[in-house]
Amino acid sequence: MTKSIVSIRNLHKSYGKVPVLNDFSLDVYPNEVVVVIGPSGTGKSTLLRCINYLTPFDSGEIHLDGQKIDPRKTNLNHVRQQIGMVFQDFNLFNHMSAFHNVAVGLVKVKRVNRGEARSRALDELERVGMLQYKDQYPAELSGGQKQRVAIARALAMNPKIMLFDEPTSALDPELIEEVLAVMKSLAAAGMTMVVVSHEMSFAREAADRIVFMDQGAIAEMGSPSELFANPHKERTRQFLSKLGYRENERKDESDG
Amino acid sequence: MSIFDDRAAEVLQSLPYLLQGLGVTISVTLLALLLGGLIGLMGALARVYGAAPLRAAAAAYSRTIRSLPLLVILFFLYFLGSDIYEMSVFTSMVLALGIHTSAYQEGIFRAGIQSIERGQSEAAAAIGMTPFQNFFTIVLPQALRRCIPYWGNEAAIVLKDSSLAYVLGLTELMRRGQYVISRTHQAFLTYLIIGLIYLILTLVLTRGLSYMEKRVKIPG
Amino acid sequence: MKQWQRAGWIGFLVVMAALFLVGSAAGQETWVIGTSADYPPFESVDEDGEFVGFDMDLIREIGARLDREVEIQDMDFGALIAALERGRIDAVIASMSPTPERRERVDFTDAYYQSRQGILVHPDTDVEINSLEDFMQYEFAVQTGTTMDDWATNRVEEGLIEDGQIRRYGDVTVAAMDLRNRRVEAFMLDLAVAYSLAADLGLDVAVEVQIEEAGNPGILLPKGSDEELEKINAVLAELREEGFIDELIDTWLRGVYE
Repeated sequence: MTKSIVSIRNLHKSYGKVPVLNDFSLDVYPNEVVVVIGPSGTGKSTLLRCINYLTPFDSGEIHLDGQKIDPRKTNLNHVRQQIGMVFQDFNLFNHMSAFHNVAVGLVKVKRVNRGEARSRALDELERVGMLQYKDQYPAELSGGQKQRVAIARALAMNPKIMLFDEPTSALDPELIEEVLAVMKSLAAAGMTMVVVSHEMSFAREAADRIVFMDQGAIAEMGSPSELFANPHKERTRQFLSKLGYRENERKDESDG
Repeated sequence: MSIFDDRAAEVLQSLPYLLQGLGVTISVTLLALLLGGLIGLMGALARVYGAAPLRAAAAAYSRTIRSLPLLVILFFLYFLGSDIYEMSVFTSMVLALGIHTSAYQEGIFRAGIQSIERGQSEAAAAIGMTPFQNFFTIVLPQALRRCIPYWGNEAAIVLKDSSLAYVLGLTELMRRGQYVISRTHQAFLTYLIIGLIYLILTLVLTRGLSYMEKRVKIPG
Repeated sequence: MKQWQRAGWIGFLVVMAALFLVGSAAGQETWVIGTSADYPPFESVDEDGEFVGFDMDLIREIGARLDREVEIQDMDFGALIAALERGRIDAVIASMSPTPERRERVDFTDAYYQSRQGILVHPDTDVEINSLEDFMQYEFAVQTGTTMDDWATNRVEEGLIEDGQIRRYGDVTVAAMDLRNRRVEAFMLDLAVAYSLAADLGLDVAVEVQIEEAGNPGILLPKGSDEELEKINAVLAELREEGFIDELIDTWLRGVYE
């Protein structure tokens, strides 16, 4: 059996009395793309934020590359360098150009010398098709462009795994595809990814596994073809049909 | 009463003498701003990121200092403080004004820091920055930019407050003006000139800061 | 990012400059004399920034005879006694006369001149003042913390005047300006200062008086400095005998005490 890159074991998390993650366990294997779907408020974002300890959880364990993360012993900043994260709202550093957004982690965190940081940052910008915008500031970029820079920023740290927290849901419809294209090429290049998203085109094309999450736990899990064609549970079916409806509607608009 | 009395010329001749007080006024102002900025920034850090006891202590400091008139702080340092360490009027005034403005600068910095969206420091944490790198590389540079106009107001107030040192005989602009007045008895003209000098100083200060604000403005 | 680095350097240099200033202010063995240099002809600052006046000449002569280097430290009149009590200055000369309240806090040397008061009025006025009794009928000015202020306060306690009649000013020039602008009807102050203001601002000295509260000014020393008091009193007696004080009166108060 292959070793998992990230292993999430028995995660519990509640906000006050409201449980968000309820004994959640999941293993993510090298080169695998896991897409997490499910109704809103079901703990998908919290799950991602627990993996890199941005949000502390009540009990459970996270293992990165076979090593258990103990926040008291492990340097979390070191852990986070190995886990790239892409946010719904991009969160680009507003006071830095696209280039500096990508380079700052290399210089400050990785302590790479300036020349190397520069060439690596430019490489990452090229990879997401943003090289020509390297001197633009976030306020001068469109949502899709911002998200591509944010992806480059995370990639620059050379992470073992990338987490995407609804990367396209803050975007205007016509900007979604450019971000998805970058994500698909990453998947094709073998990047290990956990993606919270309802973009069915991405799930169908790039996902190895779909996780349907409901009430803080995995309700159903399987390959895209299995899950989309033949969901076992009624809740999954209902959820998928709603999504499908939205998808069709959007398609109609763009066709019309 | 006419402004241009027969002794008016004497007042105008005193202009170089008045201007010599400018050095003291400017150095008191700059040093107090710097000291107040350092204390204020630490206070703001304590109040935003500190543990509960530290937050409470910083808040109590700020409230106490704000409720004390500058003159009280100055006398306290100059007279009572001399039991611990005998300091010159200049030092007392820099400390007093620095402490006084620190409470207000703390508020300015705190508002600036809190105005930076949480996502900024989350994104910084997510690429592995330490809290220290996070604050100084991501949060503070953005916060300071937003502070500039408010800080400029405070700097103008500190400039004018620096004149209070005259009560202990620090020969800054205002005290020199009083000497000229008691010699020539031309209060109106002398105060007019001093007022103009303060006006020019304030203009230079605010213009300088708004130039700086434009220079460091984030494009877009 | 470069801008902030530059600002950091400038800040650093300013701090170093401050430390230098603080450091250089310490040390030096001198006789530190407090005064409030806004009271010509007793104490003021001339065009060159030098402390000049009757009191300044006197204290420098005393210093010379006691073989001390006199350093004048100027401050607000109201802050002088506190500074003396706290040991920030060694003595005060500021045309200040003893009162019971002041005697509780500091020691006074023998008087070095006979103080008298003058009442200033506007030249074009129907205000008629020939005595202190007349003065009490008007709305008048005094300088805060002076013996003239004490006089007025005592008369209020005796019910001879209303507190509302008194206008208290921190600065004699400001009070004189208000008199000139007719915001106040009369102003009682030290006679020599009254004549100097009258000449400069075109006011009249209506009458010369002598109030009981105005003891005669002396030099202030910290409470309990008996030995120092003796030394200075001896020098003052010497100076009086040699006619030095009369010379000072000639130089600074000529035309006033004839």
